[in-house]
Amino acid sequence: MLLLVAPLGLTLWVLAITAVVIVAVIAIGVSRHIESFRTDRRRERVRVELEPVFSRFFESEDRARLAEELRPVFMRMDAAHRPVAAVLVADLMQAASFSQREQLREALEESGIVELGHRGTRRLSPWRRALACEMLGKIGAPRSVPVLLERLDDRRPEVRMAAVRALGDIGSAEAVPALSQAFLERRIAPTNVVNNALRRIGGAAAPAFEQGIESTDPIVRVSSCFGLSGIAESHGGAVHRLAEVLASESDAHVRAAAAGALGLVGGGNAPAALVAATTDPEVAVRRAALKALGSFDDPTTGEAIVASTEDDDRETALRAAEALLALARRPRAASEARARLASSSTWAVEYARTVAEVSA
Amino acid sequence: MTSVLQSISIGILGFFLLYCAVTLTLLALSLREIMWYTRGHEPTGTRPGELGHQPSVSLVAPAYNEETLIVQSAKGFLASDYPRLEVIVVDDGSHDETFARLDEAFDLVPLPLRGRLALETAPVGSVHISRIDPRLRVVHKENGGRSDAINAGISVARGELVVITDADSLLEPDAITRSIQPFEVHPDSCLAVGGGIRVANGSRIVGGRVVAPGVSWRGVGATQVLEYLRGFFATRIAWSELNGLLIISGAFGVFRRDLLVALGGFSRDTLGEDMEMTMRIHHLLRPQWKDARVQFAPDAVCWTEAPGTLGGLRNQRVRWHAGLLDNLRMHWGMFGRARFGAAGTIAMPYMVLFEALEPIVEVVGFAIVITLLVLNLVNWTYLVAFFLIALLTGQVLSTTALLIEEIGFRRYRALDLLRLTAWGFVEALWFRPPLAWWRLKATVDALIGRRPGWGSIPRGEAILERPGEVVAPLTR
Repeated sequence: MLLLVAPLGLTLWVLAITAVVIVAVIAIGVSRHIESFRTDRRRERVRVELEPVFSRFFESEDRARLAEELRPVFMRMDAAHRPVAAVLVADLMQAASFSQREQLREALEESGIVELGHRGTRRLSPWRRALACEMLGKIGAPRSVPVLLERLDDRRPEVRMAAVRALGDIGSAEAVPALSQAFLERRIAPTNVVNNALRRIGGAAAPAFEQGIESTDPIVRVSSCFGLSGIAESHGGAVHRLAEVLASESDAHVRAAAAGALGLVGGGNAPAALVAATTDPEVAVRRAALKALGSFDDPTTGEAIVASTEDDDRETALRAAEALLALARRPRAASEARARLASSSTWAVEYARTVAEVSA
Repeated sequence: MTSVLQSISIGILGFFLLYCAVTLTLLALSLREIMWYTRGHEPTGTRPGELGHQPSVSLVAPAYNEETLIVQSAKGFLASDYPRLEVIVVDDGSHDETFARLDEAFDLVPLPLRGRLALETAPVGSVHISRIDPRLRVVHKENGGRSDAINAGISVARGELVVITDADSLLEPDAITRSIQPFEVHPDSCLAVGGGIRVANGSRIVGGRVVAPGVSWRGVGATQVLEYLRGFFATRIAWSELNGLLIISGAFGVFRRDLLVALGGFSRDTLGEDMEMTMRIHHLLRPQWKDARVQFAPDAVCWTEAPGTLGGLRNQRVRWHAGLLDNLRMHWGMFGRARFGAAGTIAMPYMVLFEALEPIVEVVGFAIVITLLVLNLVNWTYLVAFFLIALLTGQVLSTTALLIEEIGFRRYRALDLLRLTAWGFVEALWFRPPLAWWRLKATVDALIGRRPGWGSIPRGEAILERPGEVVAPLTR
């Protein structure tokens, strides 16, 4: 089709270049194929070297010996082996018990591996920086926090995310100001990732979520509601604050989030705002409120729940019926809920009952 | 005469070079992403539970006359490792024993069917739950076509996310878990995720699961494996990165349920309802939701049986092309407009030029060669040289796609990759010409108002109503 256009010389050049490109791509493919076998072998070698060392530690719990044995093993490894070892260490840390983890951490610090991890966070390759962050998070040494905080400004989002998660894994309050700022400004890493890290830090992160509730950004407000529910055990005022948000917030999505978050906390008496939310004009809020009411052992909520089983919205009616079934399994609310279930003949109750029977 | 042919040839040359440049750029972008993905995925990739909870998922599988496969398919869906899953099989008025087989295998119990369904569909007769596995629901309804069946499934679904698949698709056990990870990391911006579709022809399937991926010994099957690798794994990774992914395959896509309901469900007026929904999401939501994303999860894998004969392939491709043209027309408003991001400025022009118009250019090219042969104007050296260039340039794309497969996924044995490379060399000789011809025929049919399958030409505007509410973020 092009035979009237190009001179033959040019055509032959294009032909030759194209052929070279194909050969090059095939060569890369073959080398990658071989490389994958080498990686498997490398992984196996690292495993063979490290596993006995860790096994001896798990048997004897002799921290000093572990530190002594680990250092030469790590020092012998080249740049290709260390990332594999880092993954293995991260996995072992996760599998260990709390007391073993503490000892492992000290041994890893003493043997200089934490230091190697710190250096790894400054490597040229982004995946190695991220892996180093990941490993440091799993080791959990508080002295890694400043190094990880530096990585919050990394140019690659994956590295920033790994650093945020690692800070959450370590759980040090030292990271709260930087993470709070990241959370409120919605930069550095996705809101959920930062939220999770703050939650793992616990009560010390409460001011971040309290501030988030006041944010002008509804996504931060939504996320803050769930953040408060996540730290409710260590932050006594969480339920009260969430109830306040549910009663006063103008954005329906935030109200729904507050109701949902209250449901995650659960407990004895349900906040009045949650019962009132069952008649909220917004479907999303009613649905969340009814689901949440099932988490409270409060016999006084039965009436509101039963009324909602006839809601025009199918999902709201079903959630109300499911909440009633949930109450019927709770110590305080059971008798009241069972009586209401027995006297109800709405389709939603019938539906939920059938599902519960079949599932049982 | 010669000067006219020369002008057309120059135009075709320009088109050809542009196509190669753009596609190679996409491949390079995919390659870059896949390098990160393979290196970083294990230790630093998305973690399940990032939302603080796992969103509930409803899998919707429409079934029409699937009595032979349906029980095995349902068991395959239920074998997913995702914990918060309900599976909804929608029997779309089958004339065979589809429903009876399900009833027999899963001991179905009717559920009360009242309350207004979220989407309008052909009448739904009954909804059932299984005593054997209560995660299974079966919707029995009057026939209304694939989109209608999906909409019925969405209406009874209760999950925050809906997985749309086909009754004859085979999902890998971790496919759902992997496909929802983008929602977990970006709950406030991720609206839909497409999974990777792989061709099962030639693979060993045991108990509804692909246990040994392979490549068909038949050219039609093998070439489609290569085609899917190019289409899904080589370029969609790049489109996803650019946030310009215009199609989430109907065989495996994940959507937020509230979004699908707010948008009025899948269109019943187009043959490419999967692409239409993806384009509608971009068209309606991108201008008001700047960071909204439609993503591709290449490691969430669904296996599908591709047509094994040229006849079957023809029907499929004519339908696909008609769907493509419908959708481009419906969403023409996005073309070249910056407020739709890369979807409007890059992906739409790419679709128009290299998908919709390409068969015309290709067939015109073949016609010129034939004309020159008839007029005896052919310089055989040039003909052979240019033919080789076309062949080898196509092969660069295919080989790069295979490289991406080998680096990122390593599903196939080395021998299979070599066979695919070989099929790539001869593809232009026997596979592409009929493909171009069928697609040209579909274009002509569309122009004269005739279309394959059912229904009339859609008006398009009817489904472009604004969603009633801005959907809530999934943020936790």
